Amino acid sequence: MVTTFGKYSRTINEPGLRFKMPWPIQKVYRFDNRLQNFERKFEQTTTGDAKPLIIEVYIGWKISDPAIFLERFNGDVLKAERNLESLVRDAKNSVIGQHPFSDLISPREEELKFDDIETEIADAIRAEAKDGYGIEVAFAGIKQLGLPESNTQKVFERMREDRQRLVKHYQGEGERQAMEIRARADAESKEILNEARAKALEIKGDADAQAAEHYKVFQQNPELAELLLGLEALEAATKEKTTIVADPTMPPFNLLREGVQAMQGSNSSVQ
Amino acid sequence: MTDPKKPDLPDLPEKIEATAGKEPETVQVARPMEDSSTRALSDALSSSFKIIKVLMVGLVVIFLGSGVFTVEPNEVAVVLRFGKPLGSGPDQVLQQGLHWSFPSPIDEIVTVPIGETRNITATNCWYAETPEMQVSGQLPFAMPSLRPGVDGYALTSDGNIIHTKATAQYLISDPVSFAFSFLHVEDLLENALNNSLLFASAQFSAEDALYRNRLAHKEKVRMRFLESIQKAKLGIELQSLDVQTLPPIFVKQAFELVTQTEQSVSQMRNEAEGDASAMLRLAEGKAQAIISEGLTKSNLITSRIRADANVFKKHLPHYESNPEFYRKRLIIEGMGRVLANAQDTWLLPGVEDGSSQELRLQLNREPTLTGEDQPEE
Repeated sequence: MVTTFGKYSRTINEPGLRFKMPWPIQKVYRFDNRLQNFERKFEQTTTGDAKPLIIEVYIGWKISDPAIFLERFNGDVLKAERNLESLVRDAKNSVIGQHPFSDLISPREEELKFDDIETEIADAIRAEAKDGYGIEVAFAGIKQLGLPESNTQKVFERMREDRQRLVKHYQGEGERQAMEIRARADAESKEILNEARAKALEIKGDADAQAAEHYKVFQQNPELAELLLGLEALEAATKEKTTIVADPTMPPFNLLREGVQAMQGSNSSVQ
Repeated sequence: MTDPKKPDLPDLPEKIEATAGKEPETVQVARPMEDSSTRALSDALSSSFKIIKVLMVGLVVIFLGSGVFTVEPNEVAVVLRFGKPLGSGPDQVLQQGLHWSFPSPIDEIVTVPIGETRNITATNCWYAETPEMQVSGQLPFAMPSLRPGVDGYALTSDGNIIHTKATAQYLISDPVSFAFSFLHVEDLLENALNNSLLFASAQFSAEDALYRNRLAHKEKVRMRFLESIQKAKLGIELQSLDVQTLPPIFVKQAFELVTQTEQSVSQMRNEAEGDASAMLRLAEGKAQAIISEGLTKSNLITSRIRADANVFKKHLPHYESNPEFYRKRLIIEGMGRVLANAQDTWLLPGVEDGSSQELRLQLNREPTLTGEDQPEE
């Protein structure tokens, strides 16, 4: 910025070679027009639903009107930042006071008002910073969010209780799932066995049907068929480890008696 | 060529020669002394001029030579002429090699280390640690509360607290913007990274951010950070981003217990699934055995009936020729086979007077052989 005899003369925004009247007629004041970062330690405020919150905000700013900046702060950036600090504090408290705590933390991005809050803070500062300080506020951002120290203690207690509840829940759920898996497998096993038994019965049924075809042969002489099948059954039933108590008069043991009698007859004739 | 009007005199400087016509007497008297002094003066001036010329040439060479500069392989340069970047667009940036510009104060060279990977770490949401703790990985003492301004942390969507920090590696992609648009770019970058950590953590539950969905949390941090640097036109290109999360040290054990329980539950589920699989395989095996047994029995039935039918057919003509005799024959033969197979045969003769007889049998159930007593098949 160029002053003539101490009075504002002109502002040069573009770099390049310029001419000025020599001192003491004209004087040049140079300002850094790059974007600067401003932040302060965080402070406690209250949300719209009366929850205490500690928040720290940073601001991206640059000098937009050197004449106002020079007049207001004598070109001193530290002075400008001190004034900016109170401006930011007011804007921050005002904006946060209009939002519930849930606007700052939410599992759904569309419900999170992070960007809105940052924009509102920047907008709240912007007009006064420009007209009053000669400063352009490019953006505002939240650098830190926190709770008062006593609240963190309560959060820890809640987190611990939540974890204990989770442990019990997981254990119960795990046991339930394990039992369910085993029960389902048991039912499936029984189903498989039942199906197998049904299949075996079906196979046996088919076999019986085939056998019935062969049984037709026996109708030619049922007495003979009965005799043969009966003998076969008797033989099969007495095949192993059978003790038989028999009447000697029953064939073929009756032959024993006939034999004995025959032997006795031959002896007496010899005598 | 010598002038024919002039006397034959030795060479004199032009100024002296010009005054010769006005006061010839004086000149003629003073000539010997003036000749030598004028010559000396002339020589001195000539020498001075030569020295000045050499000096001037030397100064010009030094002046021009001082404008030569080198741009190193990992950097680019921008020439400012009276404070204004020279050229436009990509021509503004000078690549590696030898270059020339006017020396200061006309031109000024600003070099930007574009090829150098830079790091920025955001620790605003991390617990307070000393450099020694950073190196050793040692955690601070567990405190029952966190002090504002000392212990950093982020709030999660379920209202819990986690510690998180991020390290970004980046390259300068727009050296003009990087060098001339921002004062202390690193501060802006660090704040943007801290903001991204807060923004991402505010959307995830503590469990998700710490264990279940860490990748999604990291991706959210990355997206937010990219958006911030693009919106602010910081002129950098993100190379990589590392995000760490940790539960608060005071409740770390409780979190670890949850993780251990999840693992044991998973193990429990795996065991149950293993048992279930074994049960199913066993059932399938038994089912196959049942079906095979059914098949075997069926085959046995059909083959036996078939055999019986064949036997019947063989006996039938003989039986029909003399049924009574053939029947007796069959019975006797059959009884013979039965008695031959019997383990014991008792013949109990009848009493002729018809009095009753008593036969006592002590039958022991045959013991069932199990285990080691079972004979090998």
